[in-house]
Amino acid sequence: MNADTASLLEMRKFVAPEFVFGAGVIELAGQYAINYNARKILLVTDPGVKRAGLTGTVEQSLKKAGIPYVVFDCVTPNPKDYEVMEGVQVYRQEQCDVIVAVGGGSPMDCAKGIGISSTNAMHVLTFEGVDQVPVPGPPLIFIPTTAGTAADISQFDIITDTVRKVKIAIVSKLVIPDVSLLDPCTTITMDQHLTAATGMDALTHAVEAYVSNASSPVTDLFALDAIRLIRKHLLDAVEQPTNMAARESMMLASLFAGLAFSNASLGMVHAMAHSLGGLLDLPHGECNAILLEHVVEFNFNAAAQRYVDVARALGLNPEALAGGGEKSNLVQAISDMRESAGIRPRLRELNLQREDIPALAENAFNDPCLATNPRVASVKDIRECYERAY
Amino acid sequence: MSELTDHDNIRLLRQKIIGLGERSMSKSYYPELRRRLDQLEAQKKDLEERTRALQKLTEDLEEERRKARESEANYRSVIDNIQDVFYRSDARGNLIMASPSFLTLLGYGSLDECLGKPIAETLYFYPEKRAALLRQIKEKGSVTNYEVVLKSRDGIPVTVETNSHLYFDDAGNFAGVEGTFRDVTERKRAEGALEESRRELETLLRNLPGMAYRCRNDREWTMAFVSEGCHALTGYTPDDLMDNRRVSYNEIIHPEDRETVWNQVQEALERRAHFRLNYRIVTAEGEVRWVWEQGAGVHSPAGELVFLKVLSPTSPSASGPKVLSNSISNDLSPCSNSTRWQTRPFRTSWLSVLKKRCG
Repeated sequence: MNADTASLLEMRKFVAPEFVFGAGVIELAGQYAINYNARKILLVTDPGVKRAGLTGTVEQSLKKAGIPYVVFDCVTPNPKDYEVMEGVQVYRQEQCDVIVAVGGGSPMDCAKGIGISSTNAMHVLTFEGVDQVPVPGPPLIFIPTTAGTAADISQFDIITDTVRKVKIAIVSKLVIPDVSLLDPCTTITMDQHLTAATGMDALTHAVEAYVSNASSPVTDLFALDAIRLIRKHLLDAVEQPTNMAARESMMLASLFAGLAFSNASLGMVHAMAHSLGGLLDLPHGECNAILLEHVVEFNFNAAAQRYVDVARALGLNPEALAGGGEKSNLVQAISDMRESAGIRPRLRELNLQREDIPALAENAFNDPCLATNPRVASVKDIRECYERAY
Repeated sequence: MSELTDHDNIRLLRQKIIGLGERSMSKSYYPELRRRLDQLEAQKKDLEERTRALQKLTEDLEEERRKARESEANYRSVIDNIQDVFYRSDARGNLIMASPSFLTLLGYGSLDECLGKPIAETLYFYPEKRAALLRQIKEKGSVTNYEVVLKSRDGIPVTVETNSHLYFDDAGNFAGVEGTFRDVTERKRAEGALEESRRELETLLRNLPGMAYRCRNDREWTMAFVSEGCHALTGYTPDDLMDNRRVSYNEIIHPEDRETVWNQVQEALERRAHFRLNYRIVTAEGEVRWVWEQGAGVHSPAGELVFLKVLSPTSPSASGPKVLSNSISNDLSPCSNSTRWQTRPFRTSWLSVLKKRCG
């Protein structure tokens, strides 16, 4: 009874949604709607996804299943609180009982908010924080069409509070969708830039989950494999948009990274990116891509062995990982990958003003993602990091 | 200190983010389902209780209704079976209810022919007379045995007596008049006939050349009735003789005939036969007159013996009182008429009328 438990693993939990992976699974949307006994579907999407024809594919599936639906597409990147509440109104008016989301992170995060706000009859901003959702929302059927966000896997729902101009994080197992239908074919509709940004987003998820102070053997498996897949396939996916093998691998990488970060959480990169998205509505994937190398530099010594593992997964050879050059080599490798993917290196190119940085740092400091960052960061640390990325 | 607190907070936040907070669990509808089921269960119990209460209420109501129906049936049968007519009018004077006896009284086939129609115009033989009735009802609150002439369906007058009064609704407002009609046509007719007979009899008695009387079987022949002819025959008025006020009939009989008259009458009474006598009386003026008398004993239903007598003056030449006949059958035969006046038809009718009156 007095056994020494200090050396044993800490308590860890792993929660994941049911998911179906493979070409053509988008067609299962109707079947799942039937299985959930849906009477009316709220189909959440955005104009870009509609244009790409993916919303139509889902609609066909629902029609075939004979389930009525109403499309809600008033969703913009970095989804806003009022967009969520508009969706709630449509959901109620149309007496929907199941939500299908098709698209990238924005429609999916918006759909999560609509679901919990509807059943709880509460404003979406009231759920800010961890485990603040009293009652689960309706069944969520998610069909991701970008390979990176993993909102279809994660327990995070990031919504922009348009009054405070910050992104709030709703962290709850109750926002994990009931099923994720991962169809790699949908991702070929992404252009080069979006492919690159979402790919770098997935890489950031994997790296931050792996170096998270809450990582676990289970999340490690997914994190490292995600990194390996991204290293091997990101550039192919960017350069050859119709390379289905690359597309499939990137979607798998996004799934793995999602499984890892949803359970191990993230770190300072996401804290800083959320702040940028909230204050300046900057594109999430790009922000992550730009910030990652700077945060690795800041964090490295606090989790050196972990970062070496990351470097190895990124294919750095043993020589590069010896003799004290590990950190700079890793930073360089990430930077190179970003460059190769075609993402600009500086935040200033995303229309960030230098004078915004102190406020950005303050907001990032309050982001829950910082809680699992391997190194404790002060507001000043964060500000300096923004400065370096500027 | 604050650094440490921040650190603790961050540690706690981290625990929660990675799903180790107390409230962290995978999406499950069960807790909410359980909560709602409990609510439903409570609602169901509440509903059951209410249903039971409602059932009880319904049963009570049904019992009340049953009693009301019973009571209504009782009243209905009273209304249905009374021979008098019960009627009710609304505040405007329209008939709104009548017992079935109404149909018999006024010869209607169905109440529908009259319900809702103004009572005065429809049912009164003299519609204008209803106002007087209403005035009395309003003054006194009711009328009793008030005579009204109604009109049958065929327009024939039907005399009724009504007991009527005002009635009021639950709020105490004047609601109309209700009461009964009793058919008195037959009684009125009988009364009329009786009155006519009485008048006829009086006329006959007044014009009779002689006197008719009824008296007790006592020595004074105490008179209970004496006709007008008494004065012409005896010089005394009927009042003088009634109850022996001024003089008894025995005193008018000639003293020498008194015993004979008594004996012969008593003898006839024993045989229950008619008696016919000739004897003398002494008038008020002192004149001695011969009279002829015929009569019979009449027994009242109570067994009391009274006399019915017809007395007529007769010829002074007749000699002494004697019994003329022993039986009524002889008396009534056309050949046995030995009197000088053709009085038999009168006598016969008188007898019947007076008997009827005595009865």
